[in-house]
Amino acid sequence: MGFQGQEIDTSMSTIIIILTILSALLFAAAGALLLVRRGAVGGERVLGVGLVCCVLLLAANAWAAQAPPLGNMRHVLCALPLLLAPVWVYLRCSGVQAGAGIAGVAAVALIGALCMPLQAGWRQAPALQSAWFVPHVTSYVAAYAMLTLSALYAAGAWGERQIPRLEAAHSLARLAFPFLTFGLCSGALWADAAWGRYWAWDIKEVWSLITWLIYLIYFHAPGSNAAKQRALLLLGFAAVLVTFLIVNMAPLATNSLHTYAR
Amino acid sequence: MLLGALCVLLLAGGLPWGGVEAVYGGGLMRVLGGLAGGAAMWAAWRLSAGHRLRMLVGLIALFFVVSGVGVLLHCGEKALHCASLGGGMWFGAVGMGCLAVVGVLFSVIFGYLAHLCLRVEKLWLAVAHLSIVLVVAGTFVDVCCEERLAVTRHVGVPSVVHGKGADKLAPFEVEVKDLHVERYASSESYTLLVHRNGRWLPVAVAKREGASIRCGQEVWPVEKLRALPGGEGRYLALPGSPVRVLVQQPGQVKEYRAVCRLSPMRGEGEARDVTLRVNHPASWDHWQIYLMNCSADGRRVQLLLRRAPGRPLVFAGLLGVLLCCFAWAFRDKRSTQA
Repeated sequence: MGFQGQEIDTSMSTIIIILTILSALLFAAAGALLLVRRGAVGGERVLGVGLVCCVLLLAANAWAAQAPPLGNMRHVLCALPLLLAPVWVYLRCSGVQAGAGIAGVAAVALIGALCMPLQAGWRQAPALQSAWFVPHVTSYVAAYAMLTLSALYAAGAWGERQIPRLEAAHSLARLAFPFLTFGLCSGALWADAAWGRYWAWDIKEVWSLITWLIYLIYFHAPGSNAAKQRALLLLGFAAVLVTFLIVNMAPLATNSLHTYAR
Repeated sequence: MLLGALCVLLLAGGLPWGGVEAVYGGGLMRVLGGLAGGAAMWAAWRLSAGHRLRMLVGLIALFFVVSGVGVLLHCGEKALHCASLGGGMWFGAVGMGCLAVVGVLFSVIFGYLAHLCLRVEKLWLAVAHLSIVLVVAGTFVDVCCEERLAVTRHVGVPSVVHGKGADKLAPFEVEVKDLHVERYASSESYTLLVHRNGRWLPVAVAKREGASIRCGQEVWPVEKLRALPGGEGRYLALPGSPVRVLVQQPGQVKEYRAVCRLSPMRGEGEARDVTLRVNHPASWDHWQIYLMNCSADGRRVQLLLRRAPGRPLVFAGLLGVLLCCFAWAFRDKRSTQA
């Protein structure tokens, strides 16, 4: 369970697990409440409490790691709900009720975090000690969170709600794209400083470029064919899943330069 | 073209253990890069509403804007340097300051011209496409002209052998004078080994408690541990039968720091001491020196010497793409399609 066979502080591990479960339950409850009654004040309050729990979870992870807790899959999944909070606020200000979707994505992310090894003793490797570490990972996680929501809207864009949902999906993808670009560019600049090359054809790099290109094609696609828009958004989300999950977990990625992201 | 590029990337992503370098080195990506450059020019032409002359003037103006910013930064730095020297160098500082002001004027005048030629609402997109051309051009320059030398150096041993590529020499010599390896104290571990049937077998894991190490009821002081010969970590031979030994596995590396002396190959110029760290390369005459790794015994370091002439182009292009993407997403809200 521990990283490199080291002992894990049991009490801290227990706190992290309890906070993860509590946050996941709160998000699930908020999602259910908001799904039953759109914009319900109670549901939004539960969502807010869940976000507060997530802040505590992030602090616990940071305390255990003694570094910004963004170094492995579990850390990133625990941080993902917090990056959805500004998106929630932005969408609320734009008149889009996305609380249920946001709560659902946050709950799924935290359930995923519970399935990952705890690695409470994770320590930053020398290559990760860079000023790029936090902005690079944060921008990617923020972009992936928004693209997940965008895909949810695109998948639900059928019948009467097709046009407004596709518009919401487009707005989210448009908001996410600069962050995706920042992740790609900052990764190149960081790789140049750490590995002596800005592009190494690493599997994670290649798939992140594929994801970026799919969204680039989406924004360049002429016309407003709803089916085409929906297909491209879902294809882009599939690429996000490959980049974020499958590439990290697949055995063929053992030689990847991003193995510490597991 | 984009679909073609996507297919190649899918191939590269699907076959990470081999073939990617071949695909890239085989020229296919260069052809695609050339096509992408052409496509970007075409897009810029489209954005300038089909007026070729307008597009040409717009792109030239953009080039001068970039040059102006370069002049401003370069001459501003020089001016500050001259001013810090004082005395007669103040004249130089004033001259450099004037040139820096010219850079500002260049940026403003030609920025306005580019703004007019490339249409206000589409300027960001034109710059984005131009930036992609820059990235492609920089990559192409590096593919053709980049020099890389992987070097292994022993700490404190002066050496004239220069990397694997004997035909390619950097204009300087590197000597590693000292190497510091810092480790996370909390990640070290202790194992109790017993000698049985000619083999050392791990029987228990010991735990550090302050200045002592505990394994069950037994306690040993940390200070009694001695350096493990020929390796990292420390050990403590325990009396009694069977023969037992407590071995410390060193903790995870936190940071490598190599103090190096860079000296010119032919004795021209002065030698310089630099401290190399991972993520913090040093520079010497357009060469970058990277600390890549160090051996387990902490006596050898792997360095990378690199001269990449296309690097500034790539960085400028990446910056351009980034700025334009944010401008497009947050500023130009009226248009929904790129």
